[in-house]
Amino acid sequence: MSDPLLKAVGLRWSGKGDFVLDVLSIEVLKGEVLVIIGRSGSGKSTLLRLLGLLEKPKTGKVFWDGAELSNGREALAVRRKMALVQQKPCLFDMTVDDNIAYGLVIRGVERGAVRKRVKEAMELLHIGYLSGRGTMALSGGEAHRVSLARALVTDPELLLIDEPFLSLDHSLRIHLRRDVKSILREKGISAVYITHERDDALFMADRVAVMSSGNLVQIGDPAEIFNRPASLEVAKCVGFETVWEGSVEKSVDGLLDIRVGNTVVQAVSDEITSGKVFVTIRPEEVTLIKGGHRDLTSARNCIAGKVVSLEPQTAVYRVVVDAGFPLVAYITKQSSEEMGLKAGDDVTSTFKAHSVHVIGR
Amino acid sequence: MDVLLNGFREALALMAGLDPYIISVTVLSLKVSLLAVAVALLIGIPVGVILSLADFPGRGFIVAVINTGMSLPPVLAGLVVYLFLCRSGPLGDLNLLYSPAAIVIAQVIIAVPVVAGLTMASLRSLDPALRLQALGLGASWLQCALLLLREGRFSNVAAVMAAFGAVISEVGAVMIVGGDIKGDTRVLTTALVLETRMGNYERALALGMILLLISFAVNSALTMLQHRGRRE
Repeated sequence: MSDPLLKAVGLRWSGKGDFVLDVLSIEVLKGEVLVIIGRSGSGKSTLLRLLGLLEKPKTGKVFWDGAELSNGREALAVRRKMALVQQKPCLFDMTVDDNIAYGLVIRGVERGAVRKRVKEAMELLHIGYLSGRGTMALSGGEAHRVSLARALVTDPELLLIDEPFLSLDHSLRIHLRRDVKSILREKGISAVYITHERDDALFMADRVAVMSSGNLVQIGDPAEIFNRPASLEVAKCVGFETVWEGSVEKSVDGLLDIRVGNTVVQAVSDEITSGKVFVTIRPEEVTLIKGGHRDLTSARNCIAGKVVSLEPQTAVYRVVVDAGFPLVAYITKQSSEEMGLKAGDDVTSTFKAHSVHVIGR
Repeated sequence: MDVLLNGFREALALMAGLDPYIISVTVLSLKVSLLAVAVALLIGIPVGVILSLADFPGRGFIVAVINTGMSLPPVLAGLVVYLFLCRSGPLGDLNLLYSPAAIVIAQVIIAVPVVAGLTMASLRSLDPALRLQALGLGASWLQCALLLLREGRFSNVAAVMAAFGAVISEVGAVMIVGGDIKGDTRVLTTALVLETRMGNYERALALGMILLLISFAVNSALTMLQHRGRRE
Protein backbone atom coordinates (compact mmCIF):
# COMPACT_ATOMS: atom_id res chain seq x y z
CA MET A 1 0.00 0.00 0.00
CA SER A 2 2.08 2.88 -1.24
CA ASP A 3 1.85 4.03 -4.84
CA PRO A 4 -1.33 5.68 -6.06
CA LEU A 5 -3.36 3.44 -8.36
CA LEU A 6 -5.66 6.21 -9.45
CA LYS A 7 -4.98 9.89 -9.09
CA ALA A 8 -7.02 12.89 -10.14
CA VAL A 9 -5.77 16.46 -10.16
CA GLY A 10 -7.69 19.71 -10.55
CA LEU A 11 -11.07 18.09 -11.04
CA ARG A 12 -13.81 20.57 -11.82
CA TRP A 13 -17.32 19.63 -12.77
CA SER A 14 -20.52 21.60 -12.86
CA GLY A 15 -23.92 20.06 -13.17
CA LYS A 16 -27.37 21.36 -13.74
CA GLY A 17 -28.28 24.05 -11.25
CA ASP A 18 -25.41 25.72 -9.41
CA PHE A 19 -23.66 22.66 -8.00
CA VAL A 20 -19.95 22.77 -8.66
CA LEU A 21 -17.48 20.07 -7.75
CA ASP A 22 -13.95 21.24 -7.20
CA VAL A 23 -11.37 18.73 -5.99
CA LEU A 24 -7.73 19.79 -6.13
CA SER A 25 -6.24 16.37 -5.80
CA ILE A 26 -7.26 12.92 -4.70
CA GLU A 27 -5.47 9.59 -4.77
CA VAL A 28 -6.57 6.02 -4.37
CA LEU A 29 -3.62 3.97 -3.17
CA LYS A 30 -2.92 0.43 -4.29
CA GLY A 31 -4.76 -2.08 -2.12
CA GLU A 32 -6.58 0.44 0.05
CA VAL A 33 -10.25 1.00 0.68
CA LEU A 34 -10.88 4.72 0.45
CA VAL A 35 -14.21 5.59 2.02
CA ILE A 36 -15.89 8.82 0.96
CA ILE A 37 -18.36 10.26 3.42
CA GLY A 38 -20.44 13.42 3.33
CA ARG A 39 -24.02 14.58 3.48
CA SER A 40 -26.37 13.93 0.58
CA GLY A 41 -25.74 16.48 -2.15
CA SER A 42 -22.11 16.96 -1.09
CA GLY A 43 -20.83 15.51 -4.36
CA LYS A 44 -19.73 12.04 -3.21
CA SER A 45 -21.39 10.21 -6.08
CA THR A 46 -20.26 12.76 -8.64
CA LEU A 47 -16.68 12.35 -7.44
CA LEU A 48 -17.04 8.59 -7.75
CA ARG A 49 -18.33 8.92 -11.32
CA LEU A 50 -15.48 11.25 -12.24
CA LEU A 51 -12.91 8.88 -10.76
CA GLY A 52 -14.58 6.01 -12.62
CA LEU A 53 -14.28 7.95 -15.92
CA LEU A 54 -18.05 7.68 -16.25
CA GLU A 55 -18.49 11.42 -16.40
CA LYS A 56 -16.33 13.97 -18.15
CA PRO A 57 -14.95 16.71 -15.91
CA LYS A 58 -14.81 20.29 -17.16
CA THR A 59 -11.15 20.37 -16.34
CA GLY A 60 -8.80 17.99 -14.63
CA LYS A 61 -6.39 15.18 -15.27
CA VAL A 62 -6.67 11.56 -14.29
CA PHE A 63 -3.66 9.29 -13.87
CA TRP A 64 -3.79 5.51 -13.74
CA ASP A 65 -0.75 3.86 -12.22
CA GLY A 66 1.24 7.04 -12.82
CA ALA A 67 0.30 7.50 -16.49
CA GLU A 68 -1.99 10.30 -17.60
CA LEU A 69 -5.05 9.27 -19.59
CA SER A 70 -5.15 11.34 -22.72
CA ASN A 71 -7.67 9.76 -25.08
CA GLY A 72 -10.86 7.74 -25.22
CA ARG A 73 -9.10 4.48 -26.03
CA GLU A 74 -6.90 4.72 -22.94
CA ALA A 75 -9.93 5.70 -20.89
CA LEU A 76 -11.83 2.62 -22.06
CA ALA A 77 -8.85 0.41 -21.25
CA VAL A 78 -8.75 1.85 -17.73
CA ARG A 79 -12.52 1.63 -17.32
CA ARG A 80 -12.07 -2.07 -17.99
CA LYS A 81 -9.78 -2.32 -14.97
CA MET A 82 -12.53 -0.91 -12.76
CA ALA A 83 -16.03 -2.06 -11.90
CA LEU A 84 -19.02 -0.23 -10.53
CA VAL A 85 -21.52 -1.32 -7.90
CA GLN A 86 -24.36 1.13 -7.44
CA GLN A 87 -26.80 1.81 -4.66
CA LYS A 88 -29.52 0.01 -6.59
CA PRO A 89 -28.37 -3.38 -7.87
CA CYS A 90 -29.36 -2.19 -11.36
CA LEU A 91 -29.62 -5.66 -12.88
CA PHE A 92 -30.23 -6.05 -16.59
CA ASP A 93 -33.36 -7.75 -17.91
CA MET A 94 -31.68 -11.13 -18.48
CA THR A 95 -30.86 -14.18 -16.40
CA VAL A 96 -28.67 -13.97 -13.30
CA ASP A 97 -25.91 -15.81 -15.18
CA ASP A 98 -26.08 -13.47 -18.19
CA ASN A 99 -26.00 -10.46 -15.88
CA ILE A 100 -22.82 -11.68 -14.23
CA ALA A 101 -21.34 -12.64 -17.60
CA TYR A 102 -21.92 -9.17 -19.09
CA GLY A 103 -18.54 -7.66 -18.25
CA LEU A 104 -16.75 -10.69 -19.68
CA VAL A 105 -18.86 -10.89 -22.84
CA ILE A 106 -18.20 -7.26 -23.76
CA ARG A 107 -14.48 -7.89 -23.24
CA GLY A 108 -14.70 -10.68 -25.78
CA VAL A 109 -13.79 -13.45 -23.33
CA GLU A 110 -14.22 -16.89 -24.88
CA ARG A 111 -17.47 -18.73 -24.06
CA GLY A 112 -16.10 -21.59 -21.99
CA ALA A 113 -14.01 -19.25 -19.85
CA VAL A 114 -17.04 -17.02 -19.31
CA ARG A 115 -19.07 -19.93 -17.99
CA LYS A 116 -16.27 -21.00 -15.64
CA ARG A 117 -15.63 -17.51 -14.27
CA VAL A 118 -19.34 -16.77 -13.80
CA LYS A 119 -19.64 -19.96 -11.78
CA GLU A 120 -16.66 -18.97 -9.63
CA ALA A 121 -18.05 -15.49 -9.04
CA MET A 122 -21.39 -16.93 -7.99
CA GLU A 123 -19.68 -19.24 -5.54
CA LEU A 124 -17.61 -16.37 -4.17
CA LEU A 125 -20.80 -14.49 -3.33
CA HIS A 126 -22.62 -17.65 -2.16
CA ILE A 127 -25.30 -17.42 -4.86
CA GLY A 128 -24.63 -20.60 -6.82
CA TYR A 129 -28.26 -21.59 -6.22
CA LEU A 130 -29.46 -18.61 -8.32
CA SER A 131 -28.00 -20.03 -11.54
CA GLY A 132 -30.52 -20.01 -14.40
CA ARG A 133 -32.96 -17.75 -12.57
CA GLY A 134 -34.38 -14.47 -13.83
CA THR A 135 -33.82 -11.27 -11.90
CA MET A 136 -37.42 -10.30 -11.22
CA ALA A 137 -38.05 -12.54 -8.22
CA LEU A 138 -34.74 -11.97 -6.41
CA SER A 139 -34.76 -10.68 -2.85
CA GLY A 140 -32.94 -7.42 -2.08
CA GLY A 141 -29.93 -9.21 -0.62
CA GLU A 142 -29.72 -11.64 -3.56
CA ALA A 143 -29.92 -8.81 -6.09
CA HIS A 144 -27.04 -7.01 -4.37
CA ARG A 145 -24.97 -10.19 -4.39
CA VAL A 146 -25.61 -10.60 -8.12
CA SER A 147 -24.55 -6.99 -8.66
CA LEU A 148 -21.35 -7.61 -6.69
CA ALA A 149 -20.62 -10.85 -8.55
CA ARG A 150 -21.16 -9.03 -11.86
CA ALA A 151 -18.56 -6.44 -10.85
CA LEU A 152 -16.05 -8.87 -9.37
CA VAL A 153 -16.16 -11.41 -12.20
CA THR A 154 -13.95 -9.17 -14.34
CA ASP A 155 -11.17 -9.22 -11.71
CA PRO A 156 -11.12 -5.43 -11.36
CA GLU A 157 -8.14 -3.66 -9.88
CA LEU A 158 -10.40 -0.95 -8.51
CA LEU A 159 -13.96 -1.45 -7.31
CA LEU A 160 -16.23 1.60 -7.17
CA ILE A 161 -19.02 1.14 -4.65
CA ASP A 162 -21.71 3.79 -4.28
CA GLU A 163 -23.76 3.64 -1.05
CA PRO A 164 -24.30 -0.07 -1.30
CA PHE A 165 -26.88 -2.04 0.60
CA LEU A 166 -28.70 1.13 1.67
CA SER A 167 -32.08 -0.48 1.29
CA LEU A 168 -31.17 -3.70 3.08
CA ASP A 169 -32.04 -4.49 6.66
CA HIS A 170 -29.36 -4.16 9.29
CA SER A 171 -28.22 -7.77 9.68
CA LEU A 172 -28.10 -8.38 5.92
CA ARG A 173 -26.03 -5.26 5.49
CA ILE A 174 -23.55 -6.32 8.13
CA HIS A 175 -23.23 -9.73 6.50
CA LEU A 176 -22.71 -8.32 3.03
CA ARG A 177 -20.15 -5.73 3.98
CA ARG A 178 -18.17 -8.33 5.91
CA ASP A 179 -18.13 -10.49 2.77
CA VAL A 180 -17.12 -7.55 0.61
CA LYS A 181 -14.29 -6.58 2.92
CA SER A 182 -12.87 -10.08 3.06
CA ILE A 183 -13.08 -10.45 -0.73
CA LEU A 184 -11.28 -7.13 -1.24
CA ARG A 185 -8.54 -8.14 1.22
CA GLU A 186 -8.16 -11.64 -0.17
CA LYS A 187 -7.88 -10.51 -3.78
CA GLY A 188 -5.98 -7.31 -3.06
CA ILE A 189 -8.57 -5.18 -4.82
CA SER A 190 -8.54 -1.44 -4.15
CA ALA A 191 -11.87 0.25 -3.64
CA VAL A 192 -13.57 3.61 -3.45
CA TYR A 193 -16.53 3.16 -1.15
CA ILE A 194 -19.21 5.77 -0.61
CA THR A 195 -21.39 5.69 2.45
CA HIS A 196 -23.00 7.98 4.95
CA GLU A 197 -23.16 5.34 7.66
CA ARG A 198 -20.45 5.93 10.24
CA ASP A 199 -20.34 2.24 11.12
CA ASP A 200 -19.82 1.36 7.47
CA ALA A 201 -16.99 3.86 7.13
CA LEU A 202 -15.21 2.67 10.27
CA PHE A 203 -15.58 -0.95 9.28
CA MET A 204 -14.41 -0.62 5.70
CA ALA A 205 -11.95 2.24 5.58
CA ASP A 206 -8.18 2.31 5.34
CA ARG A 207 -8.56 6.04 4.71
CA VAL A 208 -11.53 8.34 4.84
CA ALA A 209 -12.25 11.34 2.63
CA VAL A 210 -14.90 13.87 3.61
CA MET A 211 -16.84 15.76 0.95
CA SER A 212 -18.82 18.92 1.62
CA SER A 213 -20.50 21.22 -0.91
CA GLY A 214 -18.47 19.80 -3.77
CA ASN A 215 -15.14 20.09 -2.01
CA LEU A 216 -12.84 17.55 -0.46
CA VAL A 217 -12.54 19.00 3.04
CA GLN A 218 -10.45 16.41 4.84
CA ILE A 219 -8.73 13.16 4.01
CA GLY A 220 -6.80 10.89 6.33
CA ASP A 221 -6.87 7.75 8.41
CA PRO A 222 -10.19 6.98 10.07
CA ALA A 223 -9.04 7.71 13.64
CA GLU A 224 -7.87 11.17 12.63
CA ILE A 225 -11.06 12.02 10.76
CA PHE A 226 -13.38 10.68 13.44
CA ASN A 227 -11.51 11.96 16.49
CA ARG A 228 -9.88 15.13 15.26
CA PRO A 229 -12.08 16.61 12.52
CA ALA A 230 -10.41 19.64 11.00
CA SER A 231 -13.53 21.74 10.63
CA LEU A 232 -17.03 22.10 11.95
CA GLU A 233 -18.41 20.62 8.73
CA VAL A 234 -16.37 17.48 9.18
CA ALA A 235 -17.18 17.32 12.89
CA LYS A 236 -20.92 17.36 12.19
CA CYS A 237 -20.41 14.80 9.47
CA VAL A 238 -18.67 12.33 11.77
CA GLY A 239 -21.11 12.55 14.66
CA PHE A 240 -20.19 15.48 16.92
CA GLU A 241 -23.75 16.52 17.68
CA THR A 242 -23.11 19.09 20.37
CA VAL A 243 -21.51 22.30 19.10
CA TRP A 244 -20.98 25.43 21.21
CA GLU A 245 -19.32 28.67 20.42
CA GLY A 246 -16.79 29.77 23.03
CA SER A 247 -13.53 31.59 23.55
CA VAL A 248 -10.34 30.38 25.18
CA GLU A 249 -9.68 32.06 28.53
CA LYS A 250 -6.59 30.20 29.65
CA SER A 251 -4.22 27.66 28.22
CA VAL A 252 -1.75 25.66 30.28
CA ASP A 253 0.19 22.76 28.76
CA GLY A 254 -2.52 21.97 26.25
CA LEU A 255 -5.31 22.14 28.84
CA LEU A 256 -7.75 24.87 27.90
CA ASP A 257 -10.36 26.76 29.87
CA ILE A 258 -13.02 27.81 27.41
CA ARG A 259 -15.86 30.13 28.27
CA VAL A 260 -19.20 28.99 26.88
CA GLY A 261 -22.09 31.17 28.03
CA ASN A 262 -21.90 31.29 31.82
CA THR A 263 -19.87 28.12 32.12
CA VAL A 264 -16.25 27.24 31.70
CA VAL A 265 -15.52 24.03 29.81
CA GLN A 266 -12.16 22.33 30.08
CA ALA A 267 -10.70 20.78 27.00
CA VAL A 268 -7.44 19.32 25.68
CA SER A 269 -5.94 20.52 22.44
CA ASP A 270 -2.51 20.26 20.84
CA GLU A 271 -3.07 22.98 18.35
CA ILE A 272 -5.26 25.68 19.80
CA THR A 273 -4.13 27.98 22.62
CA SER A 274 -6.30 31.07 22.27
CA GLY A 275 -9.08 32.81 20.42
CA LYS A 276 -12.63 32.01 19.47
CA VAL A 277 -13.42 28.35 19.06
CA PHE A 278 -16.10 25.77 18.45
CA VAL A 279 -16.42 23.28 21.29
CA THR A 280 -17.73 19.92 20.10
CA ILE A 281 -18.63 16.74 21.94
CA ARG A 282 -19.92 13.37 20.81
CA PRO A 283 -23.18 12.36 22.50
CA GLU A 284 -21.69 9.00 23.55
CA GLU A 285 -18.91 10.77 25.51
CA VAL A 286 -21.39 12.50 27.83
CA THR A 287 -22.54 10.85 31.06
CA LEU A 288 -25.71 12.03 32.78
CA ILE A 289 -26.26 11.99 36.54
CA LYS A 290 -29.67 12.72 37.94
CA GLY A 291 -29.82 15.77 40.22
CA GLY A 292 -27.04 18.16 41.07
CA HIS A 293 -24.19 15.92 42.34
CA ARG A 294 -21.22 17.88 41.28
CA ASP A 295 -18.49 16.02 43.10
CA LEU A 296 -19.24 12.37 42.41
CA THR A 297 -17.15 12.18 39.31
CA SER A 298 -13.57 12.51 38.25
CA ALA A 299 -14.53 14.09 34.95
CA ARG A 300 -13.22 17.58 34.44
CA ASN A 301 -16.52 18.97 33.26
CA CYS A 302 -19.77 18.94 35.23
CA ILE A 303 -22.58 21.05 33.84
CA ALA A 304 -26.02 21.39 35.42
CA GLY A 305 -29.09 21.43 33.21
CA LYS A 306 -32.62 20.22 32.59
CA VAL A 307 -33.73 17.33 30.36
CA VAL A 308 -35.59 18.69 27.36
CA SER A 309 -36.43 15.44 25.61
CA LEU A 310 -35.69 11.72 25.49
CA GLU A 311 -35.81 9.94 22.14
CA PRO A 312 -35.54 6.17 21.97
CA GLN A 313 -33.02 4.89 19.38
CA THR A 314 -31.77 1.40 18.49
CA ALA A 315 -29.51 0.82 21.49
CA VAL A 316 -29.66 4.09 23.38
CA TYR A 317 -31.78 7.03 24.39
CA ARG A 318 -30.87 10.32 22.77
CA VAL A 319 -31.25 12.90 25.53
CA VAL A 320 -31.32 16.62 24.82
CA VAL A 321 -30.30 18.70 27.83
CA ASP A 322 -30.67 22.43 28.26
CA ALA A 323 -27.59 23.68 30.12
CA GLY A 324 -28.00 27.26 29.06
CA PHE A 325 -27.01 25.90 25.66
CA PRO A 326 -28.16 22.64 24.06
CA LEU A 327 -26.23 19.47 24.85
CA VAL A 328 -26.89 16.00 23.43
CA ALA A 329 -26.11 12.79 25.30
CA TYR A 330 -26.65 9.09 24.62
CA ILE A 331 -27.47 6.92 27.59
CA THR A 332 -28.16 3.21 27.57
CA LYS A 333 -31.71 2.05 27.98
CA GLN A 334 -30.69 0.29 31.17
CA SER A 335 -29.27 3.35 32.88
CA SER A 336 -32.20 5.43 31.72
CA GLU A 337 -34.54 2.99 33.43
CA GLU A 338 -32.43 2.89 36.58
CA MET A 339 -32.43 6.68 36.80
CA GLY A 340 -36.08 6.99 35.80
CA LEU A 341 -35.15 9.99 33.70
CA LYS A 342 -37.90 12.10 32.15
CA ALA A 343 -38.28 15.50 30.55
CA GLY A 344 -37.97 18.38 33.04
CA ASP A 345 -35.60 16.50 35.41
CA ASP A 346 -32.49 18.24 36.74
CA VAL A 347 -29.34 16.47 35.54
CA THR A 348 -25.62 16.94 35.69
CA SER A 349 -23.82 16.33 32.40
CA THR A 350 -20.23 15.19 32.83
CA PHE A 351 -17.51 14.58 30.28
CA LYS A 352 -13.73 14.41 30.22
CA ALA A 353 -11.56 17.20 28.94
CA HIS A 354 -10.14 14.66 26.49
CA SER A 355 -13.61 14.07 25.01
CA VAL A 356 -13.97 17.68 24.01
CA HIS A 357 -12.76 18.48 20.52
CA VAL A 358 -11.87 22.11 19.90
CA ILE A 359 -11.94 23.66 16.43
CA GLY A 360 -10.81 27.20 15.66
CA ARG A 361 -13.37 29.58 14.22
CA MET B 1 -75.56 -5.37 -45.99
CA ASP B 2 -75.65 -7.47 -49.14
CA VAL B 3 -72.64 -5.72 -50.52
CA LEU B 4 -70.70 -6.49 -47.37
CA LEU B 5 -71.70 -10.15 -47.26
CA ASN B 6 -71.15 -10.70 -50.97
CA GLY B 7 -67.95 -8.76 -50.77
CA PHE B 8 -66.76 -10.93 -47.95
CA ARG B 9 -67.61 -14.11 -49.82
CA GLU B 10 -65.96 -12.93 -53.03
CA ALA B 11 -62.93 -11.69 -51.14
CA LEU B 12 -62.43 -15.13 -49.64
CA ALA B 13 -62.83 -16.72 -53.06
CA LEU B 14 -60.28 -14.34 -54.60
CA MET B 15 -57.79 -15.01 -51.89
CA ALA B 16 -58.39 -18.75 -51.89
CA GLY B 17 -58.08 -18.82 -55.67
CA LEU B 18 -54.73 -17.02 -55.49
CA ASP B 19 -55.86 -14.40 -57.99
CA PRO B 20 -52.61 -13.41 -59.81
CA TYR B 21 -53.48 -9.72 -59.88
CA ILE B 22 -54.13 -9.58 -56.17
CA ILE B 23 -51.01 -11.59 -55.43
CA SER B 24 -48.78 -9.31 -57.47
CA VAL B 25 -50.21 -6.23 -55.74
CA THR B 26 -49.74 -7.83 -52.33
CA VAL B 27 -46.19 -8.90 -53.04
CA LEU B 28 -45.22 -5.42 -54.20
CA SER B 29 -46.82 -3.85 -51.11
CA LEU B 30 -44.85 -6.16 -48.84
CA LYS B 31 -41.62 -5.64 -50.75
CA VAL B 32 -41.64 -1.85 -50.69
CA SER B 33 -42.95 -1.56 -47.14
CA LEU B 34 -40.50 -4.03 -45.62
CA LEU B 35 -37.61 -2.47 -47.50
CA ALA B 36 -38.69 1.01 -46.41
CA VAL B 37 -38.99 -0.08 -42.76
CA ALA B 38 -35.57 -1.76 -42.90
CA VAL B 39 -33.95 1.39 -44.27
CA ALA B 40 -35.83 3.55 -41.77
CA LEU B 41 -34.55 1.36 -38.90
CA LEU B 42 -30.98 1.63 -40.17
CA ILE B 43 -31.23 5.41 -40.13
CA GLY B 44 -33.71 6.01 -37.32
CA ILE B 45 -32.26 3.81 -34.57
CA PRO B 46 -28.75 5.32 -34.58
CA VAL B 47 -30.27 8.80 -34.73
CA GLY B 48 -32.55 7.99 -31.80
CA VAL B 49 -29.67 6.50 -29.82
CA ILE B 50 -27.39 9.47 -30.39
CA LEU B 51 -30.11 11.95 -29.51
CA SER B 52 -30.93 10.15 -26.29
CA LEU B 53 -27.38 9.51 -25.07
CA ALA B 54 -25.30 12.43 -26.29
CA ASP B 55 -25.62 16.09 -25.57
CA PHE B 56 -24.39 18.46 -28.26
CA PRO B 57 -25.26 21.89 -29.60
CA GLY B 58 -28.22 21.74 -31.96
CA ARG B 59 -29.65 18.64 -30.34
CA GLY B 60 -32.83 20.45 -29.34
CA PHE B 61 -33.39 21.59 -32.91
CA ILE B 62 -32.99 18.08 -34.32
CA VAL B 63 -35.40 16.73 -31.71
CA ALA B 64 -37.93 19.38 -32.73
CA VAL B 65 -37.51 18.45 -36.41
CA ILE B 66 -38.09 14.77 -35.60
CA ASN B 67 -41.15 15.51 -33.51
CA THR B 68 -42.56 17.59 -36.35
CA GLY B 69 -41.70 14.79 -38.76
CA MET B 70 -43.68 12.33 -36.65
CA SER B 71 -46.82 14.35 -37.22
CA LEU B 72 -45.97 15.37 -40.79
CA PRO B 73 -48.87 14.75 -43.19
CA PRO B 74 -47.49 11.89 -45.33
CA VAL B 75 -49.03 13.35 -48.45
CA LEU B 76 -46.74 16.36 -48.00
CA ALA B 77 -43.74 14.04 -47.84
CA GLY B 78 -45.05 12.56 -51.07
CA LEU B 79 -45.27 15.96 -52.70
CA VAL B 80 -41.72 16.89 -51.71
CA VAL B 81 -40.32 13.60 -52.99
CA TYR B 82 -42.30 14.15 -56.18
CA LEU B 83 -40.83 17.62 -56.66
CA PHE B 84 -37.32 16.25 -56.15
CA LEU B 85 -37.78 13.33 -58.52
CA CYS B 86 -39.86 14.90 -61.30
CA ARG B 87 -38.17 15.64 -64.59
CA SER B 88 -37.37 19.27 -63.74
CA GLY B 89 -36.48 18.46 -60.10
CA PRO B 90 -32.93 18.29 -58.69
CA LEU B 91 -32.92 14.48 -58.84
CA GLY B 92 -34.91 14.24 -62.05
CA ASP B 93 -32.02 12.67 -63.96
CA LEU B 94 -32.25 9.55 -61.82
CA ASN B 95 -35.52 8.70 -63.54
CA LEU B 96 -37.00 7.33 -60.36
CA LEU B 97 -40.46 8.91 -60.46
CA TYR B 98 -43.31 6.38 -60.80
CA SER B 99 -41.04 3.52 -59.80
CA PRO B 100 -41.17 1.29 -56.70
CA ALA B 101 -37.93 3.01 -55.60
CA ALA B 102 -39.79 6.33 -55.43
CA ILE B 103 -42.37 4.72 -53.17
CA VAL B 104 -39.64 3.37 -50.91
CA ILE B 105 -38.02 6.82 -50.69
CA ALA B 106 -41.29 8.48 -49.68
CA GLN B 107 -42.03 5.76 -47.14
CA VAL B 108 -38.54 6.02 -45.63
CA ILE B 109 -39.04 9.76 -45.16
CA ILE B 110 -42.35 9.05 -43.43
CA ALA B 111 -40.96 6.29 -41.22
CA VAL B 112 -37.56 7.66 -40.12
CA PRO B 113 -38.96 10.30 -37.74
CA VAL B 114 -41.29 7.68 -36.25
CA VAL B 115 -38.44 5.25 -35.59
CA ALA B 116 -35.99 7.91 -34.36
CA GLY B 117 -38.57 9.64 -32.17
CA LEU B 118 -39.88 6.47 -30.55
CA THR B 119 -36.38 5.02 -30.06
CA MET B 120 -35.30 8.23 -28.38
CA ALA B 121 -38.37 8.24 -26.13
CA SER B 122 -37.85 4.61 -25.21
CA LEU B 123 -34.19 5.08 -24.25
CA ARG B 124 -34.92 8.25 -22.35
CA SER B 125 -37.51 6.46 -20.28
CA LEU B 126 -34.95 3.92 -19.06
CA ASP B 127 -33.34 4.39 -15.66
CA PRO B 128 -30.18 6.52 -16.17
CA ALA B 129 -28.45 4.21 -13.69
CA LEU B 130 -28.52 1.48 -16.35
CA ARG B 131 -26.30 3.47 -18.68
CA LEU B 132 -23.89 4.20 -15.85
CA GLN B 133 -23.90 0.53 -14.91
CA ALA B 134 -23.04 -0.67 -18.41
CA LEU B 135 -20.20 1.86 -18.70
CA GLY B 136 -19.14 1.04 -15.16
CA LEU B 137 -18.69 -2.59 -16.15
CA GLY B 138 -16.43 -1.61 -19.03
CA ALA B 139 -18.82 -1.27 -21.97
CA SER B 140 -17.78 0.90 -24.91
CA TRP B 141 -20.32 3.49 -26.03
CA LEU B 142 -21.56 1.17 -28.78
CA GLN B 143 -21.89 -1.78 -26.39
CA CYS B 144 -23.70 0.45 -23.95
CA ALA B 145 -26.14 1.60 -26.66
CA LEU B 146 -26.81 -2.01 -27.66
CA LEU B 147 -27.53 -2.97 -24.06
CA LEU B 148 -29.93 -0.06 -23.65
CA LEU B 149 -31.73 -0.94 -26.90
CA ARG B 150 -32.10 -4.45 -25.53
CA GLU B 151 -33.36 -3.17 -22.17
CA GLY B 152 -35.91 -1.00 -23.98
CA ARG B 153 -36.88 -3.66 -26.48
CA PHE B 154 -40.58 -3.58 -25.64
CA SER B 155 -40.91 0.03 -26.70
CA ASN B 156 -38.41 -0.40 -29.51
CA VAL B 157 -40.42 -3.18 -31.11
CA ALA B 158 -43.45 -0.95 -30.75
CA ALA B 159 -41.52 1.62 -32.78
CA VAL B 160 -41.02 -0.93 -35.55
CA MET B 161 -44.73 -1.75 -35.49
CA ALA B 162 -45.66 1.91 -35.69
CA ALA B 163 -43.28 2.47 -38.60
CA PHE B 164 -44.56 -0.57 -40.50
CA GLY B 165 -48.16 0.45 -39.84
CA ALA B 166 -47.46 3.92 -41.17
CA VAL B 167 -45.87 2.78 -44.43
CA ILE B 168 -48.08 -0.19 -45.35
CA SER B 169 -51.23 1.90 -44.92
CA GLU B 170 -49.96 4.97 -46.74
CA VAL B 171 -52.05 6.00 -49.78
CA GLY B 172 -51.55 9.64 -50.70
CA ALA B 173 -47.77 9.81 -50.88
CA VAL B 174 -47.58 6.44 -52.64
CA MET B 175 -50.12 7.60 -55.18
CA ILE B 176 -48.24 10.82 -55.94
CA VAL B 177 -44.75 9.37 -56.35
CA GLY B 178 -45.71 5.89 -57.59
CA GLY B 179 -48.54 6.85 -59.88
CA ASP B 180 -50.53 3.65 -59.21
CA ILE B 181 -49.32 1.98 -62.41
CA LYS B 182 -50.77 -1.48 -62.77
CA GLY B 183 -48.14 -4.19 -62.55
CA ASP B 184 -45.46 -1.70 -61.65
CA THR B 185 -46.29 0.60 -58.74
CA ARG B 186 -49.79 -0.46 -57.76
CA VAL B 187 -49.87 -1.48 -54.12
CA LEU B 188 -52.69 -2.69 -51.86
CA THR B 189 -53.82 0.73 -50.70
CA THR B 190 -53.82 2.42 -54.12
CA ALA B 191 -55.50 -0.64 -55.65
CA LEU B 192 -58.16 -0.50 -52.94
CA VAL B 193 -58.91 3.12 -53.76
CA LEU B 194 -59.14 2.33 -57.48
CA GLU B 195 -61.43 -0.70 -57.08
CA THR B 196 -63.73 1.28 -54.78
CA ARG B 197 -63.98 4.06 -57.31
CA MET B 198 -64.82 1.59 -60.05
CA GLY B 199 -67.55 0.05 -57.90
CA ASN B 200 -65.76 -3.28 -57.49
CA TYR B 201 -66.53 -3.41 -53.79
CA GLU B 202 -65.80 -7.14 -53.51
CA ARG B 203 -62.28 -6.71 -54.83
CA ALA B 204 -61.80 -3.62 -52.68
CA LEU B 205 -62.88 -5.57 -49.62
CA ALA B 206 -60.57 -8.44 -50.51
CA LEU B 207 -57.65 -6.00 -50.69
CA GLY B 208 -58.69 -4.49 -47.36
CA MET B 209 -58.78 -7.90 -45.72
CA ILE B 210 -55.32 -8.69 -47.03
CA LEU B 211 -54.04 -5.42 -45.55
CA LEU B 212 -55.54 -6.39 -42.23
CA LEU B 213 -54.05 -9.88 -42.40
CA ILE B 214 -50.58 -8.52 -43.14
CA SER B 215 -50.76 -6.07 -40.26
CA PHE B 216 -51.94 -8.83 -37.98
CA ALA B 217 -49.21 -11.24 -39.09
CA VAL B 218 -46.41 -8.70 -38.83
CA ASN B 219 -47.53 -7.45 -35.43
CA SER B 220 -47.89 -10.99 -34.10
CA ALA B 221 -44.39 -11.83 -35.27
CA LEU B 222 -43.00 -8.69 -33.63
CA THR B 223 -44.88 -9.35 -30.41
CA MET B 224 -43.34 -12.79 -30.25
CA LEU B 225 -39.96 -11.20 -30.74
CA GLN B 226 -40.75 -8.78 -27.94
CA HIS B 227 -41.36 -11.57 -25.49
CA ARG B 228 -38.42 -13.71 -26.50
CA GLY B 229 -35.61 -13.72 -23.96
CA ARG B 230 -37.80 -12.18 -21.30
CA ARG B 231 -37.38 -13.81 -17.90
CA GLU B 232 -39.70 -13.54 -14.98
